[in-house]
Amino acid sequence: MALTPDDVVRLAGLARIELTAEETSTLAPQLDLILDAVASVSQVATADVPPTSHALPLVNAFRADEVKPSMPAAEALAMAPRAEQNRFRVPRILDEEAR
Amino acid sequence: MADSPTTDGAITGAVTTGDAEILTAGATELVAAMEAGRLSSVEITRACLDRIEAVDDQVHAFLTVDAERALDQAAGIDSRRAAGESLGPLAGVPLAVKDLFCYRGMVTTAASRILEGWVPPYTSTVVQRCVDAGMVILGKTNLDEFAMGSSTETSAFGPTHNPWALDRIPGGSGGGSAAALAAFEAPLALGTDTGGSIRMPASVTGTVGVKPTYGGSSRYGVIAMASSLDQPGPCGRTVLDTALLHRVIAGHDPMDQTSIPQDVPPVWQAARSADLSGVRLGVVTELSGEGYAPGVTDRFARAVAALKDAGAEIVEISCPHFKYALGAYYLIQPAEVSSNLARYDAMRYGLRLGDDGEHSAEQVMIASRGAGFGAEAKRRIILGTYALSSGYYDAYYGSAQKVRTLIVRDFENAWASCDALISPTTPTTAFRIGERLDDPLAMYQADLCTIPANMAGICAGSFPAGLAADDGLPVGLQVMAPVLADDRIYRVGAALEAQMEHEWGSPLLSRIPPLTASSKEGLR
Amino acid sequence: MSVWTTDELLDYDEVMERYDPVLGLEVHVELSTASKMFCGCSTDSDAEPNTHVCPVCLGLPGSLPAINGHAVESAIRIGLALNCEIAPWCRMARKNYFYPDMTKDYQISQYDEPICHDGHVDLEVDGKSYRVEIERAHMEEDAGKSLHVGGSDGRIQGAAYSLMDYNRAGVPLIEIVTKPVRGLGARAPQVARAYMAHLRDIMIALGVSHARMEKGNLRCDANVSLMPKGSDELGTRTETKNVNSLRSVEGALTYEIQRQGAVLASGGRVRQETRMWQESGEYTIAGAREVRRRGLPLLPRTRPGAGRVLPRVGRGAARHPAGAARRQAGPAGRRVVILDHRDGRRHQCRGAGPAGADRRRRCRPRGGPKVVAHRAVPAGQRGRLRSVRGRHDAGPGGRGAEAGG
Repeated sequence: MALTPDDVVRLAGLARIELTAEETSTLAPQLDLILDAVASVSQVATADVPPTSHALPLVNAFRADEVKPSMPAAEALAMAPRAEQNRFRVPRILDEEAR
Repeated sequence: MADSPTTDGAITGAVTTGDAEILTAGATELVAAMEAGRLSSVEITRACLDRIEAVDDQVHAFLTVDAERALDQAAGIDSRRAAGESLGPLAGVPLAVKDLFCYRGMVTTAASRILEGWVPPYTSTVVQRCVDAGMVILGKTNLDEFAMGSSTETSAFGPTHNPWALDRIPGGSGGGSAAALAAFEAPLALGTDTGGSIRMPASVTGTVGVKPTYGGSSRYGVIAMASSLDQPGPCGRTVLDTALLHRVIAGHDPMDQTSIPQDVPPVWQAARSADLSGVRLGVVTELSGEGYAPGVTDRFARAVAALKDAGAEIVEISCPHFKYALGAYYLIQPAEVSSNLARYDAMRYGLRLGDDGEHSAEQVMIASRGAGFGAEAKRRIILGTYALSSGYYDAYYGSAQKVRTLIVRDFENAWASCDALISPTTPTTAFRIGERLDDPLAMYQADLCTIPANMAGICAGSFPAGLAADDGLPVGLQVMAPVLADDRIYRVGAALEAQMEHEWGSPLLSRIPPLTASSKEGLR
Repeated sequence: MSVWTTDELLDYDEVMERYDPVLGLEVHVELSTASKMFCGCSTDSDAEPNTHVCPVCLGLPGSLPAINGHAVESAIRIGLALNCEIAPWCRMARKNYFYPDMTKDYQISQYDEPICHDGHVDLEVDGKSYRVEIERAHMEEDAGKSLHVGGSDGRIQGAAYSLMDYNRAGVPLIEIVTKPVRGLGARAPQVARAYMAHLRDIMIALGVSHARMEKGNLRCDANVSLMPKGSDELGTRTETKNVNSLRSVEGALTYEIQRQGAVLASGGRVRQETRMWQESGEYTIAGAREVRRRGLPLLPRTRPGAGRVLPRVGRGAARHPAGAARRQAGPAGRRVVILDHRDGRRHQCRGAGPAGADRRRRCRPRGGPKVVAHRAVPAGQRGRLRSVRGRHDAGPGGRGAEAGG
């Protein structure tokens, strides 16, 4: 199947990544080639084979419900691009046209 | 180069700047010298820092070096040792850390613009264990951006050069750690291995690297690429050093609920044995033939013969589904990447662009991620988004998970007739910088042999198997063993190391062209 | 694509003559564990902003979630009290969406393998009994809180920017989702209210949540659609969020039923959307969040049926000191049998079924369907009704929604 530049733009949108026109035109054929190359997996993935999502079958690893010290707020906020009133300041959440 | 004679067969000939004896010594020798009072940790650390100063502008193994903090740590260990305190087997030994491990107070970037300048407020379990063991953290080493790559070229901060030939790649993603070892900038290093990121660089730099069993070491504080495949592990110049570091970092961690609550296999003891009597090794049929460089195939065959000389019984074993491993990997890994890298959204930390009051949070996210991620990261995030999208999920991600089951079964069948599997670590020796950068498929081929182990969660390691006859560059032999049989990796590695030293008369690294502070002698 | 909503309402009785409402209730229960779902930070909701945060709940690079065993036990207790099957296996999944209140830009939740499924509660309203069937109850984590600055009334609309407090991020939630509830007729809003009251009582009796609706410990997303009488075809549903009191549950559903009735009566079509209920009676249409849910590996799977977890919880639930809990444990102490795949043994536990509902809190009888005041918005106030372009293909509560294809 062919992955068009439009598909790439749509996928990049879902992944919240801005692409230049040049990136889009390079990525589309590259991704297409990669998808072609990996398509062989469906040949052997028959219905009788169960999927493996995790390498080791560990189960029921639980933590006790105990409160541990948190980070000082100042330390958390020191990482923030912007902070105000002891909170992380983020740009307005709704788009202009949605306001 | 490779066939130029060394002075006396000693590895010290490989270093012409600084204190060659300190820099080329193994960790065990350094600790013995410290115990005997002949050397201090400060002296050793100083030697490494001087070496980095002298040669790292050519190698570019390090992204961050904190000399002051390292020397402070070293001085602390020296005074504890002087006070008669009983210290661990690696106390006072310097360590290079892949820049994927969080270390409180030290810039941690994953070699990405999106995390440029980020200072983590906490330390990963593995690094903490090294610090607790008295090891001295020199700094952070270069890698492919978010560990996505096989050459360290996708680092946002420029490529690392292979000390064997500066125009060649040092492997990836952990090229910085491997190059730091091969350039004698550090005796030990930490890596992470998702599809070969420890083993592949070890192979092309003539060093040792082991990916422990999945869950054998804690992932807490290690920047995630593909959570079901990532595994931190040790890198060293000798098998014994690597095993010692393995022992320090391995073991259950309650902060990582995927870590195995069982004892660490006896890797240290295994690394001291060079005898393979009674050990049956399986050569993987599918990991040979077309696409494998003649120099690699030839060195691998000779290494197999050497293992036989060490007492191993050699059998050939077919793993018919390995040929689908690469395809499945490049669906599963990008899928997990697309989810794990979502958090770099410019809201809480990291790069933020376009926050001018005009743009919305979403627009700021899109712009920041567009500018903050490099080409390979974008390629994989978009590929993963596609593989996970409804309509394609079953055909791609679902099928890839089934292939994973088939690979696990291949390994299980293999363990019925051998103790460990062996193969070349990578199909070619180090390729030239830039050679595969625009050809992702060619780049991905470098992980052909290493990926199956990650898919199945078993342990695997790469050990020097000599230099290829055609280009004189290092070739690695990969050993794969069952879950929690990490000791077998070291047993085979130790035997190969002994055989190689016997054949070459000195450790392989003694053949590396010396780097000098001024000249570009290593440049070919 | 701003759309002004004209919320004309049709008389309640008139709607009922032509349509049967079908409900779907999604209730989030904030557990009262001491620590968060995946880290050791306190769940105390009265703390100063960002003082109960750590690398895990802030989603810092390299951090990993570690499941709180007590939260898993609470989930099983709740499941038993709702007469649910407890899954022999379950696992956490990632629900991906980009939003500043989600520190990892995915919520750890459960998707294809919830811990509890297929239960029911029996309610009595006006002397008539109703059964609400439970589709599932699953574990997940809460998001951070936003403070919107620069707009009117601290609302997200018109805000210049927002301030995030992540104290609540990672607080354990149990989401209880009903199957479509039909055949309620005019009493649908009252049954929904009785259902919420019943859940609140169960949570208090089990001691798993403070269950204070005004504090957001118990939050309801109310889905409703209208089915023409005599038809089997479900209408288009809307989801009303921010329904945070028993009164609101009844009020919001009554309102929405009347609004949909007016839309249909005028020959229009109900648009599938997510609406925010305001106590003042104002409405906004919320920007739906685009969601992609995946069972990507992150944590070991949970086997609630494994010896250590379920039997202990089962006994605990049956022995709960609160009298109410005993009553809720069900008349015959329904038995839940879990086959432990590891040792092949069958573990039996006494289910806490709420069939004999707590009489003290039974819904008071009320006169027939009561029409809440019409709220057709005066023209002058329409400017306060705002909408957000509905650009996404699945709302956050969409059951099993997989957008992004």
